[in-house]
Amino acid sequence: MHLAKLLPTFLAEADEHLQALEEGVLRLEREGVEADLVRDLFRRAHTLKGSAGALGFRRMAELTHRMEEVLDVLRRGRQDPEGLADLLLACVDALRTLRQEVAEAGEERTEVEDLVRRLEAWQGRPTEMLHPVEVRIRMREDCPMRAARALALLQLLRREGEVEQVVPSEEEIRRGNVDLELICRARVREPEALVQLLSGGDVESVRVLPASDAPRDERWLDLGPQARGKLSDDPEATRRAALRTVRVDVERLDRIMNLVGELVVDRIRFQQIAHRLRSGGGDPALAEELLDASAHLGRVARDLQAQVLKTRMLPIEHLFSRFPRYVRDLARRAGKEVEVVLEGQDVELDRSILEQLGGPLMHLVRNAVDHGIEPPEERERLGKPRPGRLRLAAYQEDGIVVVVEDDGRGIDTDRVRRRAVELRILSPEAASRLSEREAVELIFHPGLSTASAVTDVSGRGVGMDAVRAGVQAVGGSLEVETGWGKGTRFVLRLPLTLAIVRALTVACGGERYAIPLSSVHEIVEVPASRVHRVGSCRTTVLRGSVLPLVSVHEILELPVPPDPDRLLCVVVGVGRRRVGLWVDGVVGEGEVVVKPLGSSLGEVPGVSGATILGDGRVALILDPVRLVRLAVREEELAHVG
Amino acid sequence: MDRKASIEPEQHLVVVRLDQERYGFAIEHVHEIIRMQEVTRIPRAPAFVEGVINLRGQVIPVLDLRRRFGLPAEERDGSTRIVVVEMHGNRVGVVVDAVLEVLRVPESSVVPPEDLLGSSQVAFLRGIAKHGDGLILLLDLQRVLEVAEQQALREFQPALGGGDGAPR
Repeated sequence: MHLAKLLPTFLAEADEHLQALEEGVLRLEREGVEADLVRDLFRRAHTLKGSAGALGFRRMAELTHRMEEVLDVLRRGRQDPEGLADLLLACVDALRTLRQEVAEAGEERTEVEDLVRRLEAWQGRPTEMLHPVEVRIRMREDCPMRAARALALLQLLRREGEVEQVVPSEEEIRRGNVDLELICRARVREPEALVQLLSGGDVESVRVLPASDAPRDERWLDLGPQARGKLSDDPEATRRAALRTVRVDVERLDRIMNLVGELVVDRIRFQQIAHRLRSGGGDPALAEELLDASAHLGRVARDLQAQVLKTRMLPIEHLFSRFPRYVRDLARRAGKEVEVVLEGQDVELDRSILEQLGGPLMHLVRNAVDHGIEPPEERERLGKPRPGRLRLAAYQEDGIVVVVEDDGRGIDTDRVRRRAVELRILSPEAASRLSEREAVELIFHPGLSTASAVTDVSGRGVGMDAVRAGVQAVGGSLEVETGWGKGTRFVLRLPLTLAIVRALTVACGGERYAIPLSSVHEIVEVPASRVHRVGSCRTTVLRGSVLPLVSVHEILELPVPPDPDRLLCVVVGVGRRRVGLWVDGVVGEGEVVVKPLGSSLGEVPGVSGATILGDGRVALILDPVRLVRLAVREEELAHVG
Repeated sequence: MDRKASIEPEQHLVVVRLDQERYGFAIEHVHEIIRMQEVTRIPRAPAFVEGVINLRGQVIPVLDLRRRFGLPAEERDGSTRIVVVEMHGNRVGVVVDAVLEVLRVPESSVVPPEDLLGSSQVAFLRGIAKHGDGLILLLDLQRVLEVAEQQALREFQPALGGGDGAPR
């Protein structure tokens, strides 16, 4: 079916246009009516209307049509866009909802009547000229409930103007006397919009013929079944089609990555064959040549891998661009004035990281507006500029760094300390011993950050532990700096990509496992004599601190070897704690390509994915956090959890 | 020419041997057949989940059909194969004793599996085809794989329970 094929394109286009509309309306609100801007908004609305109409999404078509009208009034010089930004933003929201509904359910559900009326009211209708037209609508032969359909079409047409005459008459239609064709004489505001508005679904074709006598005006707008496949005949769309970009499913890129990985494996095989050839008395020149060729293959594979990785990257703009609007709404609700500064929008991040970063960033931004930035009056009293400043910046520095910074009141570390004592997280003595830095760190404590009462006193609110966990889930870290009265800065350090991680390969129970280096602190050998057993739980003392030891064999239910003289332990960070993972041996360290386990296995405890080692065998990638949780659950090691 | 045979609907099968029986995979679900290879074990997985293998860069799970059916384990040999099946976009390998042949059986020779009452495998069958002087048990792949999933999930439940909830 046409629709199924066109829908993804439409959805993607709609996203693009809605984003641009939103940004444009915000600019309109900030900078006032400016001809180029209004023209661009108009064009966006128009294009969206065309596509939505062509696919039969009436409500979207209707709403964009009205937006277009309003923008047209603006374009012609009306200069008082009072209240218009709110209205247009509400329209953008409604269009987003409709788009979502179409994506999920294939049909529009949200009503737009109210918005249409408000747009009309803003325009102070009726002001426009009506054009006399003759509209011929032909329904498909298999159209069910033809009479009802015909009436619905008439109603749709009425919204566009006045219907003067219908053949067959409305009476006839109500009685069910309707053939495939419906001929209407009407006076409408915009004849060009009719075809798109009316066609699609059960309608086979729509013809709009100017009813005026002037022959030079005569033109047919026909959207036959074959033409319906076209999204729109907008020049913008044509131009875009010619752009040298393609949309590719990330899954397809993953498949390419898989194949590249295989090239690397083959390369190693070639190398081994060459070495065998040389040592087995074969032709050394031939062996040399094979080595050369395999080295070349390796370089090509590496380049290919880098290119594929690059293809997975998206500019962070995709994430940042939602914030001006988001902050505007938040600020309004909180009675604040906030100026958003975006920097480094073109910095690129792996798509999957980008997707998972949205939540944590929204949270940080919301906290900054709600709790960080002071109300304008207070700011004035403090000698600060009335509007608060919220800066979102991204730059590359051994990975990607994202900064969320405000110039608000900062975090009151004394209050955080007091609160921690009140909630019995710390003893008063311990709290007073904390350095400033350590006190700020308390906001990430689950007990403190989930206590809603903290929201108002700390200057930073709820769920900071969840934010940090979210950043860590994509292999990143989150730090905070604050100055009382000056503001707060959150620094997110993120890996470039999730598709490749640096990992330590360890041997355990006859298998090899990869442990992401981002969570590995060090590798230590613990003499058996220094291992203390409390029940089934082992601990040791490392540089003065108690280090719980977890046997990977036991957690993964692998054959457990007899306790050796020395336990080789990979010390990993789990939250702010350290835990030693006891393994049989360390095999090596390097970059591994992360692959999902087949989804039919469901969740595998303690395992985050798989990778393929140099010899072509699969190694599971361990997730230290979940691994330790498993151990905790089993051994009821309450103090580790 | 037997005219009737060309009109009658047929099932296209990949026939495998498991223990003493012949089983049929619907060919549209069979992606490929590969030799037995080294399998990476999955911790805490149910016994019939053999592990995962590298299929040209894709990591896919492998099930042991003998264990799935509660049959005695047997030494793997040169004729052991992994039938890679694809269902709902997921690829899964199924270990069988041997792959015998690809053939077509007429629909009319297929009877419901209830006729084989008493067999422990009846839950995994969608029918039984009479072929020559023997029977081919037609696998209901959905059940073979889906039940695997459910069971696997169930077995993992204690570990997953409560998600990221706090330890007791």
